[in-house]
Amino acid sequence: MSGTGDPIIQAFGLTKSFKNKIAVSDLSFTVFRGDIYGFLGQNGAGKSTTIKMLLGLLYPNKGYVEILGKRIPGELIKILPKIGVVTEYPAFYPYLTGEENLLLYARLIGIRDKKHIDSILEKIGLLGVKQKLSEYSQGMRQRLAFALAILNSPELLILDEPTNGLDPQGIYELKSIIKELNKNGITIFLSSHLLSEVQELANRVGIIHKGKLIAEGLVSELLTFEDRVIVIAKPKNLVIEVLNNSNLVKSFTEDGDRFLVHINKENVANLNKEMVEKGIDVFALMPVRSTLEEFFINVTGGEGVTYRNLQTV
Amino acid sequence: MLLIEIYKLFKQRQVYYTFLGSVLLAVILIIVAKSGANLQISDQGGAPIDLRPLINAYFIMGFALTIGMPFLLPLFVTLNTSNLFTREFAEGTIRTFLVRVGGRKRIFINKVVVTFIITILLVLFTGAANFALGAIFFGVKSRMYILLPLPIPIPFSWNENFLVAYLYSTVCLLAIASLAILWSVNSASTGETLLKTLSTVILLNLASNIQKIKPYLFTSYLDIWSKAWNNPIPWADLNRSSLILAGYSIGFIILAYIIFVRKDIVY
Repeated sequence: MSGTGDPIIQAFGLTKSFKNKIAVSDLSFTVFRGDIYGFLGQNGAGKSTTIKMLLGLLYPNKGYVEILGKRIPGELIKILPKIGVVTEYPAFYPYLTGEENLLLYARLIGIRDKKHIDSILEKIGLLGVKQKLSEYSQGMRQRLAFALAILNSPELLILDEPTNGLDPQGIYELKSIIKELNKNGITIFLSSHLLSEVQELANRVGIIHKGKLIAEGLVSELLTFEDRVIVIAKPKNLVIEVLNNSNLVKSFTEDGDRFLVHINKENVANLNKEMVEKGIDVFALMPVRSTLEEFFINVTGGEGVTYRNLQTV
Repeated sequence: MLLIEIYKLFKQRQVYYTFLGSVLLAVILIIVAKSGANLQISDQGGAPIDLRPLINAYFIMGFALTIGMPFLLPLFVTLNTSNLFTREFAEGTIRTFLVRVGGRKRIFINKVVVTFIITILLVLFTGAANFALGAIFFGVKSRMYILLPLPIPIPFSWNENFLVAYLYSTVCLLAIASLAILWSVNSASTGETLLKTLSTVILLNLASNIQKIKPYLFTSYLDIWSKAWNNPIPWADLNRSSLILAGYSIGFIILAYIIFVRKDIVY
């Protein structure tokens, strides 16, 4: 689902400083209904400070926030039943079990349907776990935080580094849940420093750097197609011969049965023609889109980027 | 929310320790008395008084208050208050609570009410448990109390004095609880709350040696409960002191509220 609806979160000129150190400066952005909005930034860029201001935990020195049309923090209590939150390093009562924690909050927000609570615990893999929170791993806490966030079937989910501490299986499951929730119409505000994660999920992103928003837009617009194509063709020796001799090709690298070819976009069709004329079976010619990681490095200068192996196709 | 706060509090082991701690001194006294040790106290220049024949349920009940009020009971009250406020800040649970349930005013009011409830329960438990222990080991017998620091046994023919002493000690402890609330919303750990609250009490107690400022210090009224042993009970004095303590308590709570609702939740 892509965000085309009315604004759900609007930040206007948010500024916050701690003891003369500016954490966030004149930050404005909009999240529309249906978006998965990726809020990107390095560690310490001001992401968590911004989220805390969205949630009324921190008071901005300047600027204000509106969520679902209500001013924060003044009218926060009116929108809490419609939102779910996973804060960074979620905290629960360590002397209670996960289920007890969830039941406690469920009772406080007026949810008494035990079946609903059990179904959420089952969804996040914590049903029947009798350990106290003090014995929970970071990943388990993160799962419980997610359960708490979706307990009230929210319209908006605000997630601050939701995959912290999760193992690969947990990350995969969480991403599936996020996609499913968004398909069902839930707007997601996803803060992360893991660019691949955001690229996979988000339709819009905002990039914060040293407390300032330096880029915002649709992922499809920000990530342009570059002058690179992946070629899958056979036989290999003939492909290499064509690529070596063609005037159209700037350079190429070989990766198993694939070739990453640097070539101007307008010459791709001609290259295809050259290969076919040489009797090569061309299975695919795929343009390569720049990654969010590359975009991020371009706009921030690349400080503190968390690199992960990316599929560049 | 009130019941949830009470539930959360009683799920913490530390709370039970404070209740058990309130009978600790009585248990020590009972062990010493039962071991046959010499339990004599003497007035300056007076003849020594053998305490053992005087020890009974009333004695233990009064003893717990006399020994507990200067330090132990305020310590326990501060610990419980800190568990309700500071611990939530320190462990970050206040953050979860605020973004899931919300309403700082509502949260604050509930926590204050629970602080008062737990303080009253602690005083009630201290009185009842110490009386029960005394009754089990020494019987009820005649009502007797040793007035400290002067070791003069005072016989009582009515229960009123004990009830009044406990009632007004509750007023004193509620004032300390209010001070602890103020420091709790300003501290990062239980230790810090304890240190700030008890240091404030000790420093103001020291400052009350300066007669000019003594009437303006709330600590000057923290011993009003001991006037309950006077005969007749000085009601006017007790009530005036209680009103002053109540005024201070309200002041501490209003200040704490202002800080709580404006506080940045960083952790």
